[in-house]
Amino acid sequence: MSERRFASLTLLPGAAWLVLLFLVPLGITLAISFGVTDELGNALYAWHPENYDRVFDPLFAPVLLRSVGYAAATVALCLLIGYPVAYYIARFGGRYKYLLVALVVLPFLVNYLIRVYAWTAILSDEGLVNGVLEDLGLTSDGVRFLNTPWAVIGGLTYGYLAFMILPIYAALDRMNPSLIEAGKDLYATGWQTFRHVTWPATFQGVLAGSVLVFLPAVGDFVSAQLLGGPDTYMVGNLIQQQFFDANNFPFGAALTTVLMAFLLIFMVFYLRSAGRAAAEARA
Amino acid sequence: MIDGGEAIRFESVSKRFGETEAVKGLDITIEQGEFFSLLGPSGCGKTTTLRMVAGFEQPSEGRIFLDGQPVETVPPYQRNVNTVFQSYALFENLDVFENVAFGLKRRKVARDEIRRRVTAALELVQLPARSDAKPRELSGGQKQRVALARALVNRPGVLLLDEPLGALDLKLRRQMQLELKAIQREVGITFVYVTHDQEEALSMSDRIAVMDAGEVKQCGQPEDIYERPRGEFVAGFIGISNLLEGRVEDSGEVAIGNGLRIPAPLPNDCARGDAVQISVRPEKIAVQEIEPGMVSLEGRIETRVYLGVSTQITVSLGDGARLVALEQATYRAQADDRWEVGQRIRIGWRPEHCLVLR
Amino acid sequence: MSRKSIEGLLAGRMSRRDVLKVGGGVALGAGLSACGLGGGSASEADTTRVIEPKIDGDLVYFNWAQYLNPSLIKKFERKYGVQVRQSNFDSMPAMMAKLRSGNQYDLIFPSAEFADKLIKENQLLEIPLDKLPATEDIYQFFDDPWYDPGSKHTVPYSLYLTGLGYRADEIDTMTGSWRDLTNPQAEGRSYILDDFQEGIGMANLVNGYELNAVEPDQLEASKEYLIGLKPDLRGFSSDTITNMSSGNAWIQHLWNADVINIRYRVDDPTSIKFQQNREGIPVGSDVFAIPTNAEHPGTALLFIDFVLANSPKNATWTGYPMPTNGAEKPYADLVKSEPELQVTVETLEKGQQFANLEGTDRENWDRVWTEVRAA
Ligand SMILES: Nc1ncnc2c1ncn2[C@@H]1O[C@H](COP(=O)(O)OP(=O)(O)O)[C@@H](O)[C@H]1O
Ligand SMILES: [Mg+2]
Repeated sequence: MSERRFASLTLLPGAAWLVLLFLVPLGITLAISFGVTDELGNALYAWHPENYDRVFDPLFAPVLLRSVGYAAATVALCLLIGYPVAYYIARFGGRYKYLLVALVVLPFLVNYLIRVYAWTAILSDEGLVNGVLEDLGLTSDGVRFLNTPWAVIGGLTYGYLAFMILPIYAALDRMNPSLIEAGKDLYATGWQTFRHVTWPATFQGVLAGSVLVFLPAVGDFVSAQLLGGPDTYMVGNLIQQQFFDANNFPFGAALTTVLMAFLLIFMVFYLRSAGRAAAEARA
Repeated sequence: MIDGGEAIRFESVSKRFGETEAVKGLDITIEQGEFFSLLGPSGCGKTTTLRMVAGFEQPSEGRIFLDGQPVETVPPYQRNVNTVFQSYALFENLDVFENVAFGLKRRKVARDEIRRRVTAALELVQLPARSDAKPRELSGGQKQRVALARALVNRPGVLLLDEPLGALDLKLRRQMQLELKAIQREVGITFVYVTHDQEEALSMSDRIAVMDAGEVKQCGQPEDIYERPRGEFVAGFIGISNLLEGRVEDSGEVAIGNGLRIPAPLPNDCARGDAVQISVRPEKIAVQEIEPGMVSLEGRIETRVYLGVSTQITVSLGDGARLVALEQATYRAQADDRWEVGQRIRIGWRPEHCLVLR
Repeated sequence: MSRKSIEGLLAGRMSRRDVLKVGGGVALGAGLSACGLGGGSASEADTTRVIEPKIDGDLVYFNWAQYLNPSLIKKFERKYGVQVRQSNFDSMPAMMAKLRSGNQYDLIFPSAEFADKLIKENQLLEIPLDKLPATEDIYQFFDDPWYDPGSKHTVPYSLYLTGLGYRADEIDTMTGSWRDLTNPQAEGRSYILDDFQEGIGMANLVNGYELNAVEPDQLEASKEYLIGLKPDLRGFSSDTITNMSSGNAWIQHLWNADVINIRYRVDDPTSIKFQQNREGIPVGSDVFAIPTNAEHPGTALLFIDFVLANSPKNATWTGYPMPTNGAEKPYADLVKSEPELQVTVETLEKGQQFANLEGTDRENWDRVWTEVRAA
């Protein structure tokens, strides 16, 4: 009894934290999303659900689709790059394993904005990549990387790659290494072992990584802002514009709310799948 | 069932991991159809030996032959060898049937043949009813059976088993030992069986290799190993260690520390003054009821441990020397009541049961 | 937030407009405070506090980074024995958010448009120009500016105009028109500012409308123009200095002072040219202002006077022309090789200033810009 009470007391700081940093802003966002702006562009609380009508203006459909498309491409790229990296660290990292994991996380010590900004220099017409290509004699005229959809997707991939690597690494690390040997022992080639043994055994990690990459990538605005061109506008940019330039907090908040609801659907699917997997693992 | 052909041959095989020498100079030939055990304490190199056969490790030196062919260039998935892993290593996402069918599918066996063989394999391990179950729904013993079926269904030339019963409780273990042995007889496949449990090895194997620190100390039939251990390690590892330090005397006797002289069958090359050890199996020692022709000594009971079917008595001979005797709880007495700690008694054994080790 | 580190990254001088309009925390802060406080909580009486130019404490200074010659600050501190406690904002909305969440500053540097807004909200103290001798030297043009009738609450600080920067070594067919943005010699390397006012204003001028046109059909036409422009553009970007100095931009919609900063960064400064466009020139100014809740307005007044008196040094350091007669000549020397950079009273008279659009007009502009970006 008293132990239970103590246990619930220990939850308090965490709960307070959640309420303060998540629920309160969420509530405010929701409240503003029904608001209006006054003559001076200040947001006022009101009942103005028309903000939501505008969210579903067909005009914004391409922006939403583009965001989902970029995010999906980002997930695919992160998986393609991240899985081998995680695999290498988990299986062959040996005593450098933790060092390698630390290296994966290291870029996160630097602000995302600045890291992406650095890429503008790398991808410039006269930047690092073009310099190398030129030195190799592959191109003479600068290849236009910057201000293209590829640059945006590249920036997103770079920005969120660690979110893919870490859960896959954890899944691989958790996986019994005998499973791989069992696969080889049972006449599976390297690829077949991966396909029939390793991949299924780490699928939950892949799923977790995909969600962790997809969610922030859909809402990202930094990559498109710094690396994008005229036609790479994402929903994150749209929202950011409402808050910063257009001074239209209510519309920005309505967009945010709808985006969150959309992402929540993914979250729920993921949580259900993960919950099922966890329940099965317990059984 | 041993039909004479050679299944595996190790030629001076060594394996090093950096500084660690896991296996040193292994020279063994395992016959086809043999139930061969690698026995030794944890860390002595048993698993490493097995993994070299499976192809998961390459020897640092020496060669391994399977079916007479050297295998250093053959990857694991092409070796006619299957493994039962200590952790079972069942594929969690596949059901029992698919687990067992895994190897056959990789080898592109026809569907109905797969069905037939998997069903037969599951019958062999007495699990035909659970073919739809996922591994996590099975008990430890059942998982063990699936792992066994998954390997056997491929009809490998050699089956490698790495402490397959290690995770089971004692009773299930005994039962599985019998079953494994029966299955091995039935299928006639060469089994290489790794264990650190001497009783298990003794009861199941055709031959046993006792390993210590990467080396094979003795290789032979269970009776050989038990009755005629070569060297202190084997004698100590198999059964209860019962060693007395001593020195060879002229008269074909061994003098032990407290002035006692014990008649013992000395090896030919023993000279007077050589330091030796004598060993007597606990169950060969008679307590009080000394028969004519026995070597006999007096001592004091130091401890008495009731074990159910027997009572274990430690007898101090003075000067630090002590021997353990096992007295069977037979019809004739309530064994646990017969002796008191501190009581002086006589113990004895037939000279031929005494072993001199150098 | 990250501005300091970006500066390190770029390792160069940054102008007021060399700004990455990206950030996260600020948006939330602005959102909360905007809603919490609403507008116009101050009354007109708050703005008429009588203040004297004399030291009444350390100066709490809030400005763009690198937007005032640091040697002047040092000199001021030495001369008056006070400290100038500096902090920076990286956008006008960010500055507004800080003000609205109750931070106290003695001196801020809003743009004309935001000064207009602050004055209407009764957020700025009246400034006694007669007590500041250096203000005598300010262009008469600013005696009664649109954003501050009677010049009661602000003192002009700097001048700028918007035009096209271009690479003279790559492009030799500029025609003096905004339509040069689609000059084929640029091979698709033109950027326009990621700024709704500058973007729509430019389109209005190209279409022959007023800079601040708000008629729905005119706005519609300007929107169509901008959308039609997109295939020829490389991007929307206000990071003009990086764009041009990295070689990514051969034509860039920018503010005149950026050109000076770009020239500091390239091997051949004369290859960077600036063009004022015949369809119209957006001009603007930033001002000194003292918020009503300032704790040391006396020191602020002294500081304003001191900086104005040293306008020439300030103009040549920042790259921005200053609205005093004394600064005109030194600045003209600085831009000798590119006189189009100069902003004179004539330029101001010829140019058009952005108005502080309100209500539906502002909403329509925002909507047009959103639609241009989303299209
Ligand atoms: N992959 C490895 N890397 C380094 N040392 C190893 C490796 N595998 C085994 N060893 C070492 O080799 C020795 C023998 O190990 P092992 O064959 O697993 O023993 P056993 O199976 O008899 O317990 C041990 O000292 C072990 O630590
Ligand atoms: Mg082992």
